[in-house]
Amino acid sequence: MNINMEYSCVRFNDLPDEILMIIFKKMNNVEVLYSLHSVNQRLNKLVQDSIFTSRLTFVKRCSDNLVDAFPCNMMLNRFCLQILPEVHDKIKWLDLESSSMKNVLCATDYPNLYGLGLYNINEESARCLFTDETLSSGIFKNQIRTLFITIDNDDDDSYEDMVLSATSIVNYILNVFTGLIYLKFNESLYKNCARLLLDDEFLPTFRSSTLLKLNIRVQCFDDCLYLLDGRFNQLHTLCVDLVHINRPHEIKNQGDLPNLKCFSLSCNLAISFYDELILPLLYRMSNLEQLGLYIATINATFIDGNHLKRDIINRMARLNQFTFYIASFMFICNPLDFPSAEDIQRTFIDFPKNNIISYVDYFPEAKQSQCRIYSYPSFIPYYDNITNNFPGGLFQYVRVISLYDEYPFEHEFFIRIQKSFPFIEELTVINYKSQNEKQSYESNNGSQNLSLVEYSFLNELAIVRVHDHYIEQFLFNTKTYLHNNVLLHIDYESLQRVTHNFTRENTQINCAKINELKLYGETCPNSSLQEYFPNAKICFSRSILKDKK
Amino acid sequence: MAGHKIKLQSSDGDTFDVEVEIAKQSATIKTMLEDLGMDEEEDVIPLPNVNSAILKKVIQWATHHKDDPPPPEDDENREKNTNDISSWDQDFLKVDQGTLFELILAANYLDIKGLLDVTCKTVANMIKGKTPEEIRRTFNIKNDFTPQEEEQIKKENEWCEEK
Repeated sequence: MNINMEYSCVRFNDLPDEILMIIFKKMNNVEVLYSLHSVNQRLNKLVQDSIFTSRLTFVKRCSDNLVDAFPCNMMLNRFCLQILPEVHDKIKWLDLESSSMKNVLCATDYPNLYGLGLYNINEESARCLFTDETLSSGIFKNQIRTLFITIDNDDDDSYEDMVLSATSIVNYILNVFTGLIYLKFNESLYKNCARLLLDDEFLPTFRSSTLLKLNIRVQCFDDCLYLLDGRFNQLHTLCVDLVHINRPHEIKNQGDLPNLKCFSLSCNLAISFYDELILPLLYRMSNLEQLGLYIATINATFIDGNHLKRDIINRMARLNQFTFYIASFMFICNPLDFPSAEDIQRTFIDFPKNNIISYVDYFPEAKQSQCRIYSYPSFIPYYDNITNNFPGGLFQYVRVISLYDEYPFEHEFFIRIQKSFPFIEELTVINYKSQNEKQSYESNNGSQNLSLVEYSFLNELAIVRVHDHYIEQFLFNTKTYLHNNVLLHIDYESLQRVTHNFTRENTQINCAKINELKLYGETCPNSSLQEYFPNAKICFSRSILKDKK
Repeated sequence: MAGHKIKLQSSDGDTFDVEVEIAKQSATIKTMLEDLGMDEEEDVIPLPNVNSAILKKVIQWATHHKDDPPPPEDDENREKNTNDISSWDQDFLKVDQGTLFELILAANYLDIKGLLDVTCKTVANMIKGKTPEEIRRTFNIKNDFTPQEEEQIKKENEWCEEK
């Protein structure tokens, strides 16, 4: 099209299809259909292209939760009564939030629908949906091959209630979706994370002979073994995330797992049974081609490249892709007794994968040291005990981190952390050393010029075991930008000190964004506390042992 | 080559001296310079699809963004976000609709990914949340459905209003 015009008179409808498609692709498909379907014949045709109709996501992410994409009933009705019946045969995948999922699924038939994402499901919405006879005997049974499901646990529920609720929902799934090939089972948010307890008593129907791929969070190593006890006899891919890897009560099954081609195991808590549990489990997977191992261990030695070659790579003949993150911890008296970072990196010289990062931290006061080895880019969901030695990089799958060091964290360190972990939801800091550069920021009036550290997705912050400087680091609005709805764990006396008995101006803005405050310590809170945290539900714990990590 | 300049000629005959590094944000111009062996000092690059007023705006945008890192590759799986337009770009794009659409066409013709991205996001933000009737009013689009089709749509919309 020639735009050689003296005066600008190009109109929206003059733009070629190619350009309109570029514009529409900037929007979510649901937004495109809502605003542009039925505007005129040309746009109607364009927005019915499979690019905009094959997957419809009626869920959007807010700062601290997944929410329904429909802000009002009118929007939902426009979709259910007008748009969906017209594009129904083009839809292959629907992502739905619990409050509107039944309306959308019952609005029309979806002859080509094979994938479903169900978000924020709770026990009640699961019962309502999965017991609907039309859906259960139709779409769910005959069409759905891929199901992503996230559970929304009520914050007020006890952990046991959350587990029972999750178990109840899981019991429905394989009963209802009888042709499922891929199941991804998750929680909406990390803070609501209740892992499944897999036991035949709780989950009698959790078995399938069609399931090929399973992605799931469970409680412990026992549960991982349950998943591999033959209940999913066709499974070729298993991604499992564990709360802990304690020694199981009994090893129930030890048979070969010849169908398993891809396996990924992650656990946030350190384990002591790497040799006894993890390696024997891997050796059962004789045809494994892809392995992801994301764990922390407490050992007598650091796990390095030589260990991985000897114990895994050389023992698994078909393995062609191995991604890992392994942190090893050792208690140590003499710093000369443990290998240096160079020693560890040298063990990867002839490693089949090139981009391996390794580094070693030594904590003289705690008489501990830790060694990290990982393939990069990284797929880990956690990254704990990050120190000043952290070499950087981008970790876009990490949701939970902790920072720990015996040397101070300066403001620039927090900027680096925010850049490397842009999607963190939970952050814990442990550091008792005062910041060295804090005085210079303030003497130069430099805090006005500091780069603000913005945590876009943070919903839980634990700064209980820290020097006051780190409380200022997070609560000063000149240093940190917090979004609303953050749960803050903090020591009461430190908070009182840093906020000048709940009067300080610099800390007031961020404190107003806290929606839940968990206080630790011995002193009873005073009356001005609630005024200073106007949006927070406040609770008080005398036990410092209950603090985060 | 920083500091070296080339001449760009608009469709209405005006020429603009532009630093090579700034002009090379346009993949179209970059290709002309590199593949076609054009002499930077002497030759004039004709841009027959861009008028003088729009070319001036494009050069202004490219000059402001000359030190930007290369824009990321398109990723269909990445969450779509149209709220990340910088305040400078927002001010720069406070123009009438016709100019905005011409900038889009120019960015597409000159293959300037960053400018195309930010102009298209601006239009996307004008669309988001509006009903079809509001879209027609905003962009002056004629409703060309047949009376029967229109009646059907109205009927369906009545349902929506009542519920």
